[in-house]
Amino acid sequence: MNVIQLENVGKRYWLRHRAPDRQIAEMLNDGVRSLAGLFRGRLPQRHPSTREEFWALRDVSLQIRAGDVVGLLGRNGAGKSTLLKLISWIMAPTTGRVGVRGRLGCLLEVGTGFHHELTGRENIFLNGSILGMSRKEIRSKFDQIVDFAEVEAFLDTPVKHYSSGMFVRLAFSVAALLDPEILIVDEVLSVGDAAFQKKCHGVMRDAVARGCTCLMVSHNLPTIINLCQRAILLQKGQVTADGNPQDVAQEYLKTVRGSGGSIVWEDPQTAPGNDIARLKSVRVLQGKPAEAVGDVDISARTVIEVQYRCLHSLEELYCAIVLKDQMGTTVFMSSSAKPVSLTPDSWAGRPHPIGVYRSVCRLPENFLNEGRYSVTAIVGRGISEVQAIAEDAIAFDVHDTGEMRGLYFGQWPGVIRPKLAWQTDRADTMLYPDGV
Amino acid sequence: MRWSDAKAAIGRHGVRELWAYRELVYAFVVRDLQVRYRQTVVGVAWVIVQPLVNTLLYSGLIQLLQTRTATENVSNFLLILSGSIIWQPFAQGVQQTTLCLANNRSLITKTYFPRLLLPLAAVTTPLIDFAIGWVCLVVISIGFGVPIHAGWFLAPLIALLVTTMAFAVGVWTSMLNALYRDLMSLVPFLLQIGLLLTPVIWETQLLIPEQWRTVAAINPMVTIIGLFRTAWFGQPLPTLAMIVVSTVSLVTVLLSGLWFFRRNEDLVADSV
Repeated sequence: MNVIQLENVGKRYWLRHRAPDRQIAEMLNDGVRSLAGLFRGRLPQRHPSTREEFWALRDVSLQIRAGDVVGLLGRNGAGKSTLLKLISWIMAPTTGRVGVRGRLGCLLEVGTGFHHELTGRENIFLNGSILGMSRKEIRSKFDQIVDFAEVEAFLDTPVKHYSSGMFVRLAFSVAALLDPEILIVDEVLSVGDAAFQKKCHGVMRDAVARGCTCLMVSHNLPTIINLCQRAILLQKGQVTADGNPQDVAQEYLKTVRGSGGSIVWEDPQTAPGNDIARLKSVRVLQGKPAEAVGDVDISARTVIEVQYRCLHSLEELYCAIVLKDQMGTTVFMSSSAKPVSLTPDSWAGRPHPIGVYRSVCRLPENFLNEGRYSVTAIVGRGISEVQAIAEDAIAFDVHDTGEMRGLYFGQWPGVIRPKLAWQTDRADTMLYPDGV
Repeated sequence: MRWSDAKAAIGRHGVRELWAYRELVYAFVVRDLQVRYRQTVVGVAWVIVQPLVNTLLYSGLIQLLQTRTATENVSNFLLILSGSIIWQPFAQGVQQTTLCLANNRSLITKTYFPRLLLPLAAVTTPLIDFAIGWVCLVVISIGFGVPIHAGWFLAPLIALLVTTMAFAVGVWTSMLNALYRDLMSLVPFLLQIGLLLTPVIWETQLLIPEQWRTVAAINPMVTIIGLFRTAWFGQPLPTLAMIVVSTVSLVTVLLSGLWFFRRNEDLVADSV
């Protein structure tokens, strides 16, 4: 039995283009003109003649059976959220039709409808009603919700005084105990600390075990692979893959390659640098043949390549990179200089004839953790004279294919995630006969 | 299976669906009441402070102009107060309703419920204003020596009329404001004009010549306040013609508003 059915669904938006840098005088002028138009009986368009249509979804047909757990994958802007909003009736489709059977629990955002001035207790009732629970139901589950959220001591404090963790926990708890027949979840499982995430996943599993139909969006591939029986890949508003989560995840990683992860300065005049050296390109490469990638597979070898031009004869140049995580924390800095490089770099610090050079820094596999990283590229001279620098020149995402995780699919803590050697013995065996 | 498409879309399930969501209206009303006077010192007293101060100001002004009231034994102060406690909930209702869609933008774009619930909830909270105003008027009337009157207890009917009126206007303005935020600036201004065009600080009998009263009743508030003063001070009842004109006008605004709201309801998540 199908509980969700989409037939040739399309959703069109109008994009309005506004001239950049509008002066206040122009805005006033526009305002006066619209007023004048009103008096002549015309309803003014807010920004006339500069709109363009944009199809967030086009010709999507889907069936989801009762009890299915379906993951939705796709880049930002692929139409995932639009799809969820159509299914949850928040918006009407432009073409086609959407059918839903059963009580829908919809978690598009944690804390929708929470009011900052209200206390935790008051918000539980408000949020429960918004999610479609009756007051009776909320009352019967109240203790369970409070328990789950671990906020008992703060029940009568306005939520504006909550820490963000408490807020998220409370918000999720209300929604988690809703008992819907269809659960729609958009990216909310990536909140809270590891312990809480585990709880959330437990709730999801319970829901699935109860026979609840789930439709979830996540950028976290292990979550999809571990929780779902089926995954759907959306690209530019269309379904391009549908089936086994493992395969669809691979497909997803493939399709996002080649976008991002590289920057090239075509014009040597405007590239970062000075008269001695200028950068030419910075790229993250992976695969065979090597390809610039914006999404990096955690378990494959990765290199960061910096190309630079030496513009002045016989300068003693070397290359360096700084890698930062998404919080801006520096993960490491490394350079091609002799004492720093693991293997001797043949050009580092040597006089460069004028020309283009390419420095490559190899990162081991299974080294970075999941998440987004940025690369700052530097060309230096002598000990520490920076000649060319491009701060956060490129960014790339590291994705986990789930190999290291097994059944754990919360967030893996740490800035890096190296694969290290472990060995356990009986403690009565001889202690390190050959030293560590 | 319930279907939605571009034409016969969401939220077209009529009164039955509204009824199914009645608890949510209640939750919205409770929220609005709980939030309204949080972190204020005077709290709920604000409900009466505003009409009282207004009344004092206007009655002072009218005292200076040395006008007398149409009814004997009723002071200007009481008359203006009786108008104010009707006008205040109406203005409150319209103002809150105007903002209700725009202020709940995050709810509208993240969850589904019949959007009409929001204006419904928004006009309900000013009933508290009315109730408190009524109690004050009773106390002050007794203080002024007005004999207690059975008509005083017809107030719930008047409250229903005022709320319906605020709702009729608010359905229009809330949707218009979701589409064009100009309404946010326009509505308070229109309410100011409305206050002067409605017998709040003046009396129909004194200012409007008899032959024009039927025309004035196009503004239903004229008749509603007239009815209230009849009930309170025993002034003559508004004429039948006035009542008919006001009813037609109120129903027209209400039905056209509901039609306009429905027509745009499905698109509001895109444009609010």
